[in-house]
Amino acid sequence: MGTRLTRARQWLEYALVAGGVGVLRILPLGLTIRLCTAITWIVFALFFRRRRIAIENILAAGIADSPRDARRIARASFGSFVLMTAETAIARSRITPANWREFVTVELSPELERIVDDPDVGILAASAHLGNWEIVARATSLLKPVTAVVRPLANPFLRGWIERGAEGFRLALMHKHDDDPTRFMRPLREGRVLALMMDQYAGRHGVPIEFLGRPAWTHKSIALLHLVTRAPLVFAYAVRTGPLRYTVRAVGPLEFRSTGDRESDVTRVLSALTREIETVVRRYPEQYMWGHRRWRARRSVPHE
Amino acid sequence: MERARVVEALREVLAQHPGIDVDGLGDASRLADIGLDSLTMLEVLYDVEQRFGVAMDVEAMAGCETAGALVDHLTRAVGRGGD
Repeated sequence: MGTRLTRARQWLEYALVAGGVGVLRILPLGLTIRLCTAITWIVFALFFRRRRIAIENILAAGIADSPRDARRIARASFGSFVLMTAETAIARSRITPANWREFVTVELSPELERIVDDPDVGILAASAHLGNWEIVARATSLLKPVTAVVRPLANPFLRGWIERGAEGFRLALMHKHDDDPTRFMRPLREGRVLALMMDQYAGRHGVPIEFLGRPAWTHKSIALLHLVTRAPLVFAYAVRTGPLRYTVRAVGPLEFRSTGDRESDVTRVLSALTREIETVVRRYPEQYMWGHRRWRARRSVPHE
Repeated sequence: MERARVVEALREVLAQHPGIDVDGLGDASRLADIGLDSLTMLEVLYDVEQRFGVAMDVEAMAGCETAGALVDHLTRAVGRGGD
């Protein structure tokens, strides 16, 4: 009975999301953006806990001088997330492999362009919750195939819908939790971009890295992958420059060599990547997702 | 370095990682089954490269589904002074 109810709830969630996206696709873009502005005000008012976290994070990071300014940036950050969700849904039907350059500008160094053009060289791409991280994966996949590491949704209907959204692009989704320990190597061996979000709370799997003035528990995988595979390492992000318009940038390739001190090497790589994220967050604070608990304290774990 | 010495050294590296069943380790053991998750796998590969002074290539690492495959790659890499 419980299973049936869960399935019914999951299907209802899927129907609401798919229906909402269907409506967004037929609305004029200007109207969608105005609708997003209204939704942002509602979301900002209702999700008071996320709002408080965002304002606290902005103040602690020294991004705003006053609570009033922090509140303004927090509201803009919520708006950026609402717009990202809506525009990503619209992009599914409007941005295609044939016309994507009308919507997305890509800025890469000449050295990185050469690496991207080499089908035998895989790339490790770190990204962050800034601008539109869906667009950066889709646009990059049209330059070089991408495998994006994602946390799978519990709802199988929504999960399937999201995976179908990658069709037509050279974008594959790899679940974060999997029992195959060598799975991260394969995309690199196949000359793909392996994309990981690195500004997520890592808990006991991570190391503390200074991020905007405070230690944040950061996942080690991308640093170890770079040190072990020596694959070119970049920090890639997409900032919104206008309605359904984005600029994708990638910093790098960054290069680090193992010294024999594993923990120190990992910290060195993660600190460098985190500095890159900080630079972009300070430049586009309204486009960063401040409402997540990036700096939460790690619970003590016995035997650690 | 002969294969037996690589096996012995690999056991020592693996034993430093909590949660890995080194006692039950054999050539046919799947790395996933002995308690290696992707993060520990990367840490082990880092330690192994340092211990043996070799650099394995991605092709070799991606093919290491069993302990025996990892030992074979390492033995070849050590013999060549790197993969």
